[in-house]
Amino acid sequence: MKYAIVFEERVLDNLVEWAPPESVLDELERRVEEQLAANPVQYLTRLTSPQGPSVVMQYNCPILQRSPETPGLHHFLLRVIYDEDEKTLRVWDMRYYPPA
Amino acid sequence: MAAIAMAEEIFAGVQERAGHALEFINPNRIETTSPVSRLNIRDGVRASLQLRDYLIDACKLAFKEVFDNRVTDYNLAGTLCIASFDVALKTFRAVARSLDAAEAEGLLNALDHHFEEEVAKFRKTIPELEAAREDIRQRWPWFDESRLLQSLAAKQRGEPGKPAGDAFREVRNRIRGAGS
Repeated sequence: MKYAIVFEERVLDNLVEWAPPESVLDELERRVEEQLAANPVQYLTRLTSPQGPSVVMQYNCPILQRSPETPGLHHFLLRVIYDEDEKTLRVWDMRYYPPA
Repeated sequence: MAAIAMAEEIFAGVQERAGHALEFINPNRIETTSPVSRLNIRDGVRASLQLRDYLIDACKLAFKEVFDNRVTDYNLAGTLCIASFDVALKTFRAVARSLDAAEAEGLLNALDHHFEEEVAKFRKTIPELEAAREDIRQRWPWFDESRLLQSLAAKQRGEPGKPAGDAFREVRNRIRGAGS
């Protein structure tokens, strides 16, 4: 069974602000579909909140680009929670680290 | 857990090196009017520069832990990194005060050329560390609890979020629109 992945609007605002290269966005979308949606248990790590163990999980997504336009490692951290239906993962926070 | 241990290790390493640097300018141990005191200032500067190198390299390792997915408590690890900068900056400022006092007393005349280069590097390090601290504070992937609470509330209100396919399509269109 594939999980549905949904993004909150402010996460999309962040992505637009960062404006990663289109090829990186394509690869991120592919990974989200092929890794996170297909097998979240394998790819998610549970985080600790200031109050202790939390409902938040994190998906680390390093994307190595070899194209001359955007060479290097683009790194995304996606923070997700499960929806009540247990079939949907909601991305509520994201970080992006372009190549140094 | 490994990353918390690493952040703790970095903090302990900074404290140890800071203590070493401060011993050279400890007025309870050092006679500041003695001709030998200039050598203590020199070694305090050198120990501070070692502390700077340690901290800069340690922060790179801390980010590597993030990217290797070895951090679970981001706020604790990040707070320890920032605290490490604060300890280092306090140390640098204390050594800088001693250096200024020694220079004003004329104690540092005729020290070797290599030490002059080290002092020049030392002088640049405080603003450099202040900038690095701010950079870490901004770039560190803090666990934003208020943002999480807003998301949980939105989820409870039944706000659906945007499916991945639509979301990426929207992002591409908005980026292209902003670039045209």
